[in-house]
Amino acid sequence: MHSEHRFSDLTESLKNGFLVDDIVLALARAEKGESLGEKERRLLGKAVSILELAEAGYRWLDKPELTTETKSFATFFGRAVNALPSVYASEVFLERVSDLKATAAQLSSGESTPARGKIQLLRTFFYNTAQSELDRTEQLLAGEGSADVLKWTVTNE
Amino acid sequence: MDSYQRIAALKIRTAQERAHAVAEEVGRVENKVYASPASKRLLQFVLDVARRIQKLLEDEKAVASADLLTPAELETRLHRIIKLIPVLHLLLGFVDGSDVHHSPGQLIPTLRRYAHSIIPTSEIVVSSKPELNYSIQDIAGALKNLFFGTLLEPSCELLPEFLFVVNIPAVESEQILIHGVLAHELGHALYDKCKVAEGMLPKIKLSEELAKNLAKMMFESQQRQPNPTPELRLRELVTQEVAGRINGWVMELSSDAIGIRLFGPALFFAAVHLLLSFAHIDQSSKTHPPTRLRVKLMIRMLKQFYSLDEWHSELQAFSNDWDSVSAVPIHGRTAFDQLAIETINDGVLDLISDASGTAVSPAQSYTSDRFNSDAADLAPLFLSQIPPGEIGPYGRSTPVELASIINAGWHVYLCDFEAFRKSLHPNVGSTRFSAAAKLHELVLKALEISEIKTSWEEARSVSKRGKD
Repeated sequence: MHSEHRFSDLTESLKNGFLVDDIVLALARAEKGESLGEKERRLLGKAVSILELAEAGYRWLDKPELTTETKSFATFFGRAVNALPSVYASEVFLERVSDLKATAAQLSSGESTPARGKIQLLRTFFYNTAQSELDRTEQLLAGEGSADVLKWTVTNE
Repeated sequence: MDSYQRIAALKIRTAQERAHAVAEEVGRVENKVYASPASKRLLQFVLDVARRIQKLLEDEKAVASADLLTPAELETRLHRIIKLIPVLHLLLGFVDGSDVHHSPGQLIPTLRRYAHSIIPTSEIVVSSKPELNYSIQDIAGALKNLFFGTLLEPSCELLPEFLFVVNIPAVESEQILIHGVLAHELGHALYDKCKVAEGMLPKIKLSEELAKNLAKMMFESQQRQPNPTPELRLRELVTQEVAGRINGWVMELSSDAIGIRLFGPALFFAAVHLLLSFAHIDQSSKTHPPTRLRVKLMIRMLKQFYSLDEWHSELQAFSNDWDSVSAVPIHGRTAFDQLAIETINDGVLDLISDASGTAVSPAQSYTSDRFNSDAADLAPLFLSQIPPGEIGPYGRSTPVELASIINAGWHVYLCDFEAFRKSLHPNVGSTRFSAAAKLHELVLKALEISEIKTSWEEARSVSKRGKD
């Protein structure tokens, strides 16, 4: 009957998507060998934060404490899992996220340039994330989250 | 790539046309008469954003022609911007039904004043639509967060700090007593504004053992399947379900608790009547706890803050019934529900009740004394078909507050409805429905009188200050 999402879920999804799109653009510049400006480096700093949130989300179940960040941990963990479709094992996931984080941190600091292949992997990860976030936005717009809903009448998920 | 760039250019052009159509639509509807001035502010915002989206899209032509992104990346990027257009349609949808012909006019000025008293920098848009959906949510904060640091940020200057969009089902727009549930929704805004979660969530202890057992059980069960879900996916599923569920349930329960502090028993009465009609008592979801748990919290708070043993016998019987029902253990329909139910125990319900006190000042709180005096002084006026919008001696009367009118209305509905019905002309009170409609009419009239009285007092005070 009604979905249970709020307008802020939709705007949050769009905001995350815009950020990730800009990260992809910054990585495209890096991969092309363009020198990165302050704006791009800041974006790649945010990429590091996203990957840290995904790692924290992975570890949350080991020590499940509730904070205002818990939801973000879970969200970015989910986005990261979706962005690595061929990864099924925990160890591989953590290793991959750690590598991606190192590449993003290197680009963000501007001290050295990672290998092109590494940048490409990071770009693919964030493109997949962008696509996954777009799917989420579309779901929210399509009625699963029509914005003017409030659920006094609780419904099936 | 050249052909794709041309397609991208076409995509940008058609999206600009869609954005232009939104701007045109604003021109068509902006001259309607709206019950709240915020409707026009929202329309101006939509118009401004629609124009800026055209510029935002224009700027993307440079990205498209720079040959940096793959066709798929460019498609996703452009599509994201285009998704802002359906958001504008949603905003137009909020305004639709908020004109004077559709929205419950008597309620709006009072509700607007009430929202101002709780959050002074707020505005409201009330719309009545043909759907079974009560809602009130702040959209200004969400939009400002979305557009921060973008070309669209200047549009947000057109918005107030908080813009509550209230939706009331069209077929129930006159059912004023049920509108008490809006206190729960105001609770959501206060929960965010006062950052209630920050102090409260870390105090809620989720059993590490239960969570791990749940994950282990799911993993073992999957191992027996022909195509088991990989461990990483299961971990992600459990994390999303558990974290999302407990956060969501705590937020909903906290909004109930804040609503009880704002509106007192009226929220409880409205909530149980509405929830009882439309939801199974133990039905829950990832975002909403079972009704039984919500009732349990509300009853606990009423017992804590109100002298239930001094209530009218009908009301005591009503609350005792709900007290018994809410004491029955809830069995979660899924393992995730069960974990959330075991986590949100009585201690956590008390924590939620206490934390709600940080969001509502004593001056904003409805109290036991007020409920008793409203039941004693206002409810009898309804029985004489007098709308209790003002009270006190002639010439020195004062306006009655929104929460008092609604609580008194509920008191009559639950305790003295038959007496009220008999007091009506036989034609009016011939059926239970027609008598209830009359009661709602009187409550709405009381709200209207209260608002007129308050406005008059304000005008007098301004005029006096002017003379001084």
